[in-house]
Amino acid sequence: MNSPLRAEQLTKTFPGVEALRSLTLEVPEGAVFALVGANGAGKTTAIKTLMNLHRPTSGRAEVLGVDSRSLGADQLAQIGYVSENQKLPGWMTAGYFLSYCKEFYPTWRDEDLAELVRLYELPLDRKLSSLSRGMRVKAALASSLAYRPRLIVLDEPFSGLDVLVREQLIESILDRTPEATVFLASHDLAEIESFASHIAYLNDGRLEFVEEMATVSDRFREIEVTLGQPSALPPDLPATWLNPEQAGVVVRFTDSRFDPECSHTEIQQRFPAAREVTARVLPLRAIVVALARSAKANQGAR
Amino acid sequence: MHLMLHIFRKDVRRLWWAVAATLLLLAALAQQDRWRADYVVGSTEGWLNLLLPLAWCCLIALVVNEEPLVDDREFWMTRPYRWPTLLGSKLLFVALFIHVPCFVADAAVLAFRGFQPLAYLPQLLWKQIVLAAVLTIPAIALAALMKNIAHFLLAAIVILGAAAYLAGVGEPLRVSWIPSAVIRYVLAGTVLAVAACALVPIQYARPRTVPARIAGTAAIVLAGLLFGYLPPNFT
Repeated sequence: MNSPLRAEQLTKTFPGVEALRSLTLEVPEGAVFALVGANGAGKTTAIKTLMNLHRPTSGRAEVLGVDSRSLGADQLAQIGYVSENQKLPGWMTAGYFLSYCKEFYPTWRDEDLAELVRLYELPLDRKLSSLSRGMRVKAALASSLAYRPRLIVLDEPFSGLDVLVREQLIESILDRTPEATVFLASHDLAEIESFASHIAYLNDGRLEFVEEMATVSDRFREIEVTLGQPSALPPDLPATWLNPEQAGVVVRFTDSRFDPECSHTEIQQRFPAAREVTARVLPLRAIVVALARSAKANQGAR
Repeated sequence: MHLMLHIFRKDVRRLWWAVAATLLLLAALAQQDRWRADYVVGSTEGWLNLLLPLAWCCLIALVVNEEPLVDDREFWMTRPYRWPTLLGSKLLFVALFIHVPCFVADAAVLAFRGFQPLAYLPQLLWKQIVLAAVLTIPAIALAALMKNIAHFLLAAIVILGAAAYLAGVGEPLRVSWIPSAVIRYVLAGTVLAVAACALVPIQYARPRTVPARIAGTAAIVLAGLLFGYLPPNFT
């Protein structure tokens, strides 16, 4: 299967900052691929480099089978790109903006646009500058979905939007899959969890993992071990046990390689006096928080 | 061609008021010129001669910055624009709203003063080439390297100030009627025009602002050095 988006050792440095470090990933066709990470992790840099808005310092990327540095009108006609900080021509009315965009896309479908306008309740006669942020995002999204792009690239599209608007946007994006591949960066982990098929976690410009969402959910567990009596944490805890902490007789950590049998054996070896062990499924938000805390602690230790 | 006209129509819709303002200024200047009996310009015409190029520069900056080449957050950058189409639409705008009206105004002044404009077609066309070399193309190049019109104006003031200073240091700000004295101006102007002609398509084809700004600055410095070091007269 062709990958509409692929990066190999993609690196981007700005003066004094290595914003993206050897990013290697491959987005499967038809996937809803989410790039998550803390502020400044390099998500926007990754997207801008993939979209040829920034030139990579080293490494390469392919978008729709073309080197990202050669991305031209033919490829852009098949990509729908919406970013939270995109500057739209505020002097245009929403209606004129959409009709202006239409001419650039041979595959534009008026019936799709009409449906999006109806769904988003876009006020076509109002200037973009007078619209709320949510409405502007809707206008940008409508102008990016009406030509049925093969690849939809979204950079923090939901930040600052109310729940209802987010639901509308997600619904209309998911309507385009699996014909279209979605690649998005977002802070909104609860939302991401509900619809992403793949997830990649960026930390300090480095890709920590990239996996199918189901695999991520399966392999992360919050483990709580209740000991018979208080004792110090063993010094040789596995590196896959993140953020171990102890409060009295209770030891808590996040197991990032949870396997029901192996993990249980390992816990018994480290804590022979364990009275009770519970493994709790973690929401994506808790997984990302655990990873971020662990990375921060490791940085501090270094 | 279809998309070039599409972008052009959008620019006209957006900037019709600025076009109207420059056309008014041009009409006022032409009217002053046609009524003038002396070869020395009056104060109104003098001011208009100063204001009109400035207004044209602003118009150019506005139209170029409808699709800024510097800011990576502009929506058009991820839309299927082809650079020759975009550049073509901007050149069409400049040609139709600066060069054509200027040509028509010059021809009208000639006709009013009893000359046959067609007989002076080569001179009229030459003036348009000079206007393109010293004003419109350098202004397009400068606008293509700036984020917005405020940055453009600041850069233009700095460049014009430096030029005025250089001209004032060497000699009073005037061009001698002796052709050899003009050589410095022609050489410096040619360097700027050639650099601008090269920078505009390069920046449109693949915006790389920092190297383009360095190249533009180098051209300005070279033009300044040529102007400063060449003798005012070769005779």
